[in-house]
Amino acid sequence: MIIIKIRDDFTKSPGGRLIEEGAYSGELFRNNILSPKYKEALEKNEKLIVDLDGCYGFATSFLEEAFGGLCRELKDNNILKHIEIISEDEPGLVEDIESYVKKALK
Amino acid sequence: MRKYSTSLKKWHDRHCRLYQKKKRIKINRYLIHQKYKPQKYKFTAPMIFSLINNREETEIFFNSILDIYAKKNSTKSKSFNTMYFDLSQVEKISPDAIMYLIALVNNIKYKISKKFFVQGSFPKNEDAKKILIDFGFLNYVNSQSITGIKPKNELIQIISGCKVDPDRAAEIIDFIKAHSECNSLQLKKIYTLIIEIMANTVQHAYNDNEVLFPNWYICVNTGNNIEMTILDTGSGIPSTVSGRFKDILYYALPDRESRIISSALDGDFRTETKQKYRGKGLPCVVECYNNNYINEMLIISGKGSTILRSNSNDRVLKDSKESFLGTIFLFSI
Repeated sequence: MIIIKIRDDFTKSPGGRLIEEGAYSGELFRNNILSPKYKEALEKNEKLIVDLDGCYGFATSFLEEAFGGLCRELKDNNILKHIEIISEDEPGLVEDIESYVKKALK
Repeated sequence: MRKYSTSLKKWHDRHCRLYQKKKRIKINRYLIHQKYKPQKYKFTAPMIFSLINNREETEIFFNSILDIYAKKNSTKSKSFNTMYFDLSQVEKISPDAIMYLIALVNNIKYKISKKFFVQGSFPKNEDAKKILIDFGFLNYVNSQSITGIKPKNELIQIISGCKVDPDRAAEIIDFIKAHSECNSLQLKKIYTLIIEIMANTVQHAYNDNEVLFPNWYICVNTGNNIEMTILDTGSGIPSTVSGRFKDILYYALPDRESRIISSALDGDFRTETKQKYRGKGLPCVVECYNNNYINEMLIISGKGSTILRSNSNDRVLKDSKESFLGTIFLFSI
C-alpha cells in the first residue's frame, strides 16, 4: 500500500490549477507526487491511498487538475480503481473527485 | 563673373532651404510641445466614497480617471502628466473604494507605464482618514505627513497579488478562526472560496485591457460580523462569459449584466477558456452561500450587481448606468 498524505508530502495550503497560476498547484501535485506514486502503485499492483485531511481546504480547480488531469494524462478514467481517497474533514470531496474523474475524458 | 554668380545663387538657395528647414523644425517642436506638454488632472472623490453605498458617483470618479489614463497612455508623449486624487471632501469611505484606488495607483505607477505622477490629498474628515490609513493605504503610497502607523489587530489590511497565493489565503483563514466561531468545515470552504477567486483573476487575465493589470486585492475586517472584501481587476464577469449565451438570451432583458452574473454563479455559462472541465470557480462561491458558510454576498461587475441576502431565496439584481471595470465580492461571515 502506497500512501500520500497531502499535508505532510506536499503542503498544508493547496493552491489553484496550473503551475503558472501560483504556488502549490494541482498540476504541480500531479506531476511531482500523484502521477509517479500512481505509476509505482500500478507496477507493484498495490492500492494508492490519498489522504486529504489536515489541510486548509481544496479548490475545485486543484482537485480537478490533479485527479481529472491524471485521467487526461494517462487517457484512462478508471484510475479510481487503484486509488482510495480519504477525506474525513470534508467527506463531500470524495464524491467531487469521482465526478471530476468521470467527466475528465468527456 | 557669370560663374561666380551661379555658385553664389546655389549657395544662397541652399542656405535659404537650410534656414527654412530649421525654422520648420523649430515650429514643429513648439507645436508638439504644446500638444504633449505635461498636464495636471484633478479628480474629486464623492462625499460617500463607496462602490457599495454610492455606486454611481464612485464609478464616475474612477471611470474619469481610467478615461484620462487610457487617452494619455495611447499618445507617444514622453512627458509626465500628474494625476491628483482629491479625497478632501470624503466623509464616508469603504474598503472596496480604497482597494480600487490602490489598484489604480498601483497600475498607473508601476504596471502599465510610467507616464504619470500620482498625487493626492487625505480626507478632511478624521473618521474617513482613519479608515483609509487603517486599511493600509499607506502601504501603497508615500506620505510625508503621516508615518509610523502600526497595523491594527482587528483587521487584515489590503493585500494584493497577481497569482494564487495559498500562504496569504491561509493567513486570512487563521485570522477568521481567531476572530469568529466558524467551524472547521466552514473555514475550509472559505479557504476554497478565496483560492477560487484568486485563480479566477489569473485565469481570466486574457483580456487586452491596457488600463488595469489583472490583480486581486483582499481585506478582512471585524465588527458585528466578519466582512471580507475581494477585488479582482480582470475584465469582469459579464465580459468573460461565453458570448453566445450573453448575446442571444440576455440582450433584450432589463438588468442584463446582473442576470449574466447571477447565471454565471449558477454555472450556466462556459467561460472564455471553453474547456468543459473548467469554470467551476463561481458556482463554488454560491455553494458556500447556499450551505450557510457565508451569510451575505454582494457581487459588482461591469454594470451588474447581484446581492444574496441571508434568510431570502431571492437575489437582488440591479444594473448601474456606469460600468465597473473589474469585480468586487463582499462577503459577510
